[in-house]
Amino acid sequence: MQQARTPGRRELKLLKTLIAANIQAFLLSGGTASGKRGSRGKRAVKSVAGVAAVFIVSLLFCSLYFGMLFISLASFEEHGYGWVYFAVSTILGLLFLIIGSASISKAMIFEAKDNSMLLSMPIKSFHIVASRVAALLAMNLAYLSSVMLPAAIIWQIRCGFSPASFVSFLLFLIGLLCFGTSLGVIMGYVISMIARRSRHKTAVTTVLSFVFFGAYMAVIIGGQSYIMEALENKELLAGGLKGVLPLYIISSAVSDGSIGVSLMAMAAELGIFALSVLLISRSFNSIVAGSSEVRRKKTSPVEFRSRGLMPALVLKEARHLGSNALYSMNSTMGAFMTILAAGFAVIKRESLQEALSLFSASPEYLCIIIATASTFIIGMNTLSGVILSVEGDRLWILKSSPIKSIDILKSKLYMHEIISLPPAVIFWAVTVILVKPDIATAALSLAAVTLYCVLTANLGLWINLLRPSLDWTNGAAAIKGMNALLVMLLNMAVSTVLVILGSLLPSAVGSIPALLIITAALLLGTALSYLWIKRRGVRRLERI
Amino acid sequence: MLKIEHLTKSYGEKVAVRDISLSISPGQIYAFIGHNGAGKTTVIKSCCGLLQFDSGEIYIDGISVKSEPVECKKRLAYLPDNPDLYEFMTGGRYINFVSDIFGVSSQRRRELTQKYAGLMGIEGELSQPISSYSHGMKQKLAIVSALVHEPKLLIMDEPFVGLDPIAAHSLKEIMRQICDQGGAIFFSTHVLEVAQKLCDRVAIIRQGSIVADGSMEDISGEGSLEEVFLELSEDFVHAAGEDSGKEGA
Repeated sequence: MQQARTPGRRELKLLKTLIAANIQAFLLSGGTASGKRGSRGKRAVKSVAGVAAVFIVSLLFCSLYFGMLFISLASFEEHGYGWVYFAVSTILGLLFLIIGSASISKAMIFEAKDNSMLLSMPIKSFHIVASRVAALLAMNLAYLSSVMLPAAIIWQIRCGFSPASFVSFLLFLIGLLCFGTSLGVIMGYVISMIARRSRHKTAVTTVLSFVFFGAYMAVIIGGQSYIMEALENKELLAGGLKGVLPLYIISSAVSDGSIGVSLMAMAAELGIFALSVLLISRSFNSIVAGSSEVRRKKTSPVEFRSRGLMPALVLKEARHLGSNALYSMNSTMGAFMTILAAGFAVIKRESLQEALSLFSASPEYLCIIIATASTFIIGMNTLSGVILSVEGDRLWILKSSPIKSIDILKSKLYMHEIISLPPAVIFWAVTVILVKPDIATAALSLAAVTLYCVLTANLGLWINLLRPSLDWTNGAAAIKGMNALLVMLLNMAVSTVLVILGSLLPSAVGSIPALLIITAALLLGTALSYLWIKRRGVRRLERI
Repeated sequence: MLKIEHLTKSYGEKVAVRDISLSISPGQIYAFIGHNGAGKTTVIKSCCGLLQFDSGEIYIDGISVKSEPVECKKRLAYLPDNPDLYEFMTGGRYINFVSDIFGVSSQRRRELTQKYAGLMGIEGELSQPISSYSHGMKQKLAIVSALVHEPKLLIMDEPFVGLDPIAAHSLKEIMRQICDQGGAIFFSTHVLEVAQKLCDRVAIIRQGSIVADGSMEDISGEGSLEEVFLELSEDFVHAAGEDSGKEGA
């Protein structure tokens, strides 16, 4: 009996070791390769503190963003439709989970650098996959909590949990976390399987990722406007959601405090989760081998063409960006969204102009508001926040070459600006065509938007120099790690300040002085941040 | 060509390299040997400007690595022991990228690429993505890209690892050619037979300090370099054993 138990215990111990290693890698994913060799304990504390800080900030952000929606939805309880609250928060939570999970699960599970090494050891594929999915669960828990914690707090304040409904809510959360993770993992698996069979893996993965994202945005935008209309007509929303039976059952179980139903729902979701892990484990070997297979190109003569130093450096950054679907999609989301928004504005220009004419505001004021608000979208570009981290073990190539450190950093800034500026200018042009402000307002708003792009490039690189994450085994950790989130939040903070200034200043001092103040503030921020990069940033790079 | 004066580098409390001095003249091939963790890579990376060192000076062609790193890097090429390259590029694009950094003209880079890629046997692979290369092919590509800008000083960390015998032979010939033309080579290796046959001078490093430094004839004498190295290592092991014995008493 003892002998029969021992292999099982050994496997369990191995699984625990792998899970711990993966979760540790996730928690320590930031700032360990700063060149400083402090005590490991201190670095670990710093890294975990960083993760915690970013989580708290995103929690606050989600509370602000979703808070009003949840407060409006809480009124459904008075009319006997309390379950709608949990149904809507389920949809929002799932959407938050899936879009992140699909791209990162492909990278974390199938493209980790140590996959081949682990597969060469006496370790079952299931254990490798399970340990990676455990780390993914930890990450998704942070994402999900950003939505569900505000939802829980607002429900408690407005309606109050009974002990039974609180227990049901916890069971509901566990089930949702596992179900959302499994959906993301399956999507990542599907993308991997399709890309594996294609000659053009990167292009296929990029297109599929954008298609998924497009579908996600269609649901978000369509869903949000549906919910806002339906808040006027509660029966309409409740009726619509009731059509999705599992959603209705799970949500009702929480609002009614049916622990039994919640347990069954959680068991079903855990079952789906376990099945998805098993499915992936079976194909893990072949997918890993397939991912590492690189289709040979047709042999062609090499073109020997000389370029200047800076064009060569920027082209290298561009090639890197274009070669990796996860990198291009995650780091240049702002550019993509800005172009979409500009296209949307062109297509719907007549109805937009009609809607804008309802505001009793001057064209100059509207131009300022739209221009400052557009920085929220442009600020989703996180490229400069991860552009140093993605160098990884290859940083030696730049550092051993006769390139000034400031030129290395400038090339990374330029890359971010090349991605951000054209879409920002296009959106500005569409705004000016729609709103028709005077020339001075148009010119100054262009200057403000341009400076915002340059400032966010500097701020991102500032973050990346403070927290260079070069020692990754999985490129996704560098691309989607804490730096990207930190940069996005920082950009949003700047955009918030701009929108506040843009809304309040024109009425106080006039449109042109307001724009001058905004532009001056952006110029100051840009200059100071660049000065830091030129002095301390260069020293930091040289110490790495 | 390369002068290291009293180089010291620590990682926290651990002194990786202590008061190292050595000098390499033009035309010399200089081997740097030592056990794992002795400090070879630390010295090499310090010479290439990849590591900031605590004290001492390093001069390349009389120019200080500390005060003018870019000028020094123009004169040298570095080949790491495990070259991680840009997998998103083809071999040809990578060579073009390195050539652009060093300002090599299109014509010259074409000539040198064809020459060295031909010698390394990867001329037909340059249009393929680096992600499709084996370890040895990456090593060869790194060698070609190191040579395409005609460095005066070639600094290599275990350059023969992963190379097939033909490529290894070609590399040795190239090294000799560079030195005959007035350049210099400084490399670390664990393959002592190659060091003995190829090199003019050798330094043996142990626990961060140089324990032997001189011409190959002076160091190896009638015997083999391997014997000398093992003897020095044995002395160290005995000395370490005596020290710990004294401490115990």
